Amino acid sequence: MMFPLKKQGKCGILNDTFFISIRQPADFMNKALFRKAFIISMPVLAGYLALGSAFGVLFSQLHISFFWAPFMSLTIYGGSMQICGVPMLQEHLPLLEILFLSIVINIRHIVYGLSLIEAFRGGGWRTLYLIFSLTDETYALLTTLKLPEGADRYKFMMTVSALNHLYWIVGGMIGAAAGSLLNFNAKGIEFSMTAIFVAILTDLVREKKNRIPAVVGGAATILARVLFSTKTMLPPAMLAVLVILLVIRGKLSKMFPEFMEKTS
Amino acid sequence: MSLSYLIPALLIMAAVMFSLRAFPFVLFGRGKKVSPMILYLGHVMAPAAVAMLVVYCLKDIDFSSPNHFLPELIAVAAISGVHFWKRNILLSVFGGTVLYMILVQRVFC
Repeated sequence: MMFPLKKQGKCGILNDTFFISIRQPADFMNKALFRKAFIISMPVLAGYLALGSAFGVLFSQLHISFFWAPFMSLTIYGGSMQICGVPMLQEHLPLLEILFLSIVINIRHIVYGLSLIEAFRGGGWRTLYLIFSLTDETYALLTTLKLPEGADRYKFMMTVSALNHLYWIVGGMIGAAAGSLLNFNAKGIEFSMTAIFVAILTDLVREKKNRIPAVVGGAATILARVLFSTKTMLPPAMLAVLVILLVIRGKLSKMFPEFMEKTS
Repeated sequence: MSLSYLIPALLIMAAVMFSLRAFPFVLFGRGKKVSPMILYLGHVMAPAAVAMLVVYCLKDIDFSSPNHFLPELIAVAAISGVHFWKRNILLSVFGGTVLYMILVQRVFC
């Protein structure tokens, strides 16, 4: 998502007036800022090269043009979405089902940005990029990040986020290239989608408050699997989960202390 | 794969991803009061959706033949065990997938 580069000139005016009397130090600061951002992003570097490669190897089994691997990492930029996207494309799922599955896969993001609303406000196009690139790992970095003295907040957050994005794209390309060179029996590779959600679920149910919603989601889907065909099971399951969660809201919301504080 | 399928499919994924990431910023961005209902649903839907996806991913298992459910069962147990212990997403996903591939290609075939 580098297209806003063209706009940079326009936004640059703002920055120039801000740094008008200290043009030299501002240039120096950009380098220092970049160096600091790079150091902060280092833990993600290793993780994204590795996880990105996993996506790339999976992607290579689609046997489509290499170009689409960086394209996906650039425009979608989500680990579970991309890793699940491969079997979805492979099985040629109808677009409507892809839409529906994508929503279910990413629904956990809808409360993600809540704690960063204040931090992101007022950054113009940089805010837009910061929202777009808010992955689990970037979220973890940005919520714990200490701003270097004198640094522009948006520029700094943006640099950290863009570096992470770059690692992700490069990781995917490495994996896609390696995967197309290796000749292996790919039978069963689609299980990576199951593996991701089993791992995420294992993390979630460590916390007591997540256990009842997880049981509701799992049980409703098993029931939908029994009552409907495998192709039509998701919408009724989703609806049932929504209704059940709303019905037990009174009891369940007591388990969310952070949520009670805000509403009381 | 035809481009007339691939391009819209990828654009849907990208659009959904961005829309859901932007959701809290658009809804609560300008100091609007956070709706308790949406906040509640956001919190409880996360674990419910992930559990839903686990079941959805396993929708094709077939209990009439051990070859069609044992590999899944063993791999799921191994992944949740290893992930509970090590908390390393890469190890769990990569290791779990390789284990499953070995099981379906060499053991239960």
